[in-house]
Amino acid sequence: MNITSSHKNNYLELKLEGRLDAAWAEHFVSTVSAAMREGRHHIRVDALGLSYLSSAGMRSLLRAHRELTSVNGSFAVIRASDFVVNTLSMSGFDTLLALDEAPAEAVADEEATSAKSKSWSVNGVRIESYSQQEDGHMEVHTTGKWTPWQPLREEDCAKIALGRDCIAIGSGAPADEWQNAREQMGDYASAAGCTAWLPGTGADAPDYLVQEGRYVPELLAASGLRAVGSFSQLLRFSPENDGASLELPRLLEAVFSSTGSTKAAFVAIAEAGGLVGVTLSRSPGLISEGEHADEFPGVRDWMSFCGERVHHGRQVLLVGFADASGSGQSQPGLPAIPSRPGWKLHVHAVVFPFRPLPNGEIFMSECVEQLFAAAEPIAMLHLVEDERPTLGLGKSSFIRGACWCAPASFHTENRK
Amino acid sequence: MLEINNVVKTFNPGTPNEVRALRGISMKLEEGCFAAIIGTNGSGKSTSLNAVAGSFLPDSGTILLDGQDISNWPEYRRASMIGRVFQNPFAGTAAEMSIAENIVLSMRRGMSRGLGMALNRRVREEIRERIRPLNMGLENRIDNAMGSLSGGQRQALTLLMATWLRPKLLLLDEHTAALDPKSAAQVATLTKEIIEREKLTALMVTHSMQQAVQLPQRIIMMHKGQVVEDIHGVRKARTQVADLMNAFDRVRRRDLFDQSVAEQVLPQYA
Repeated sequence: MNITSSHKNNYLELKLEGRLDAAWAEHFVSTVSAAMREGRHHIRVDALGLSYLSSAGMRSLLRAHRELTSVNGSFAVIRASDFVVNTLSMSGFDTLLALDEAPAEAVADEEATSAKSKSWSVNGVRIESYSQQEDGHMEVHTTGKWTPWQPLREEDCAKIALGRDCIAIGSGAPADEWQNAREQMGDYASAAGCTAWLPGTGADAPDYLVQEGRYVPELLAASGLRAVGSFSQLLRFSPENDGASLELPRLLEAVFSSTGSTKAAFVAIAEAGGLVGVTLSRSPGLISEGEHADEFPGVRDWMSFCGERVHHGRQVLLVGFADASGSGQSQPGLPAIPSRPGWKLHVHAVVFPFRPLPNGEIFMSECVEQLFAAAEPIAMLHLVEDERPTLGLGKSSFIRGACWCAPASFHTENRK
Repeated sequence: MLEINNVVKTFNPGTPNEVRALRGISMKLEEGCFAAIIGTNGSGKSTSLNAVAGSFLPDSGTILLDGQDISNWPEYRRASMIGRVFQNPFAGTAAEMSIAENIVLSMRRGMSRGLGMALNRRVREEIRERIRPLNMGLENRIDNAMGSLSGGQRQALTLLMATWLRPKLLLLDEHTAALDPKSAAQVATLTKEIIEREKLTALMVTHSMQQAVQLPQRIIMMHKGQVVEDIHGVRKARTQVADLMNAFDRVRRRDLFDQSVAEQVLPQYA
């Protein structure tokens, strides 16, 4: 079977020629998935050249329809020959058939987008900004009093609730008692009542806790940041040219300019161009008195470095806090980054298999909950920049996605 | 059954070609334990097996087999207690000799061989009985030259020969790596069957993660001449191929985490 794609104004047309049967169904589904990854959510199949349609082929059409409608897109078969019309009708799938015309939903989407958003381009990436909550703002508090890489004491830890009302990142463990928690302290990220946590036991994949009914996940946090409030802006970004992506500081520049603040809290769901980061591979609760856990080479027992740019093409949930005010004051939980003097940044990334997001204005809680419901997290990273000359891996970058953000006020608890 | 204590071996010491092949490896295999050794190229997997088999003597450390210190025993003396299957299907058998002649040699391994007829009717019948369960139809071809068989058939027979006298230890050195996928799967299944049936203590070097997950009870991972992971018990029961790939990745990432990385990333984890 031959598939020819042609980009129309508001939709993608796939012209099928030949047999859509078991041998070709997967190829068709892959073509649709690749188009969805590029943000094409309205697809029409030109079936005039289709010579055969088996049940396997029909199932692939239905799958495409289901996947596209799940991201508020649309799918239909147009210019169907009599036998295709008959086959689909007799099987009860004639809802897939449409007249030869542009999808009305696509036109409506475009009109809605242009009415509600502002857009600009950065390095070949188009960014659209939507206002969400007019007075959206985040109050950020430090949680826990542990200073890396000192021995961790019970009194340094704080019990925190990670419900739908907050976003949070840091190091901790979901246990009621210190004794249970101290051996498992690891990095965590939480948004919309969904918390991913990588146990500091050398585990490869994160565990996760999701708010259900009256159950609200709780953690014993050694250190970190937790914010409550609402988002003022949504940024949608996607590449205008093949291969374009947005490095994290560039995304943050967009966050600062759209929120009108140099301090911000944000959550993003984005397709990774490549991530650079570290994870706790051993619980800091096990650091003994007088031990220098942050000295090389011993630090390799406590921390794992990604070694190369990782997770290209996967969907990533980012939860982060940034301060570009240039204030010389140190803020616990907000380390400086090497590429931008005066900037402080703390971002955790939870990695999932790729799953397309709906286009246009979308809401954080819904998207994060769907992400956790659809698949289990694969990995977790505390993002860092690697600016070493020649060998450096650079900065994490993102191809397309959504970033919800708000101006932030930082408050520090008294530390011992 | 097998105890390796802090064995060190450096090849070509003091020369530009110096290779520190084993940097103090230790492991203990209980009787009836089947363990796989996995690792990157040059990690010391095969060298460990050869150290046990006696292909060379270690620079330091001890090797105990069945309670006896065999560290300084020559290879031929250890052969009476150890069965071996090599990667090359042609290495474990004599191509010019018949199947029966090859097998009768292994039947008297470590024993004195007199001048009587080695192959009589009773022995030939025993050979047929033992090779029938291979389901390769070889029981009707025991007078055929070994060289006329396929790699998979030769390796299956080598495995049978290596275990004919129930060795104290069976060493398998990537014994399915040179076979086509179907033969490799057949020999792998046969390996598990024989080891379980005979309750053998066995050490297998493999590059196949699938085999390491499916066949043995224990997985030992080596890197740069050292044991870096020892997966057994309940942890082995839940180990999947992806977990082993992750373990390799951890080792690789650790190598990439040098002083310059530490200087770069530590201030960003404050």
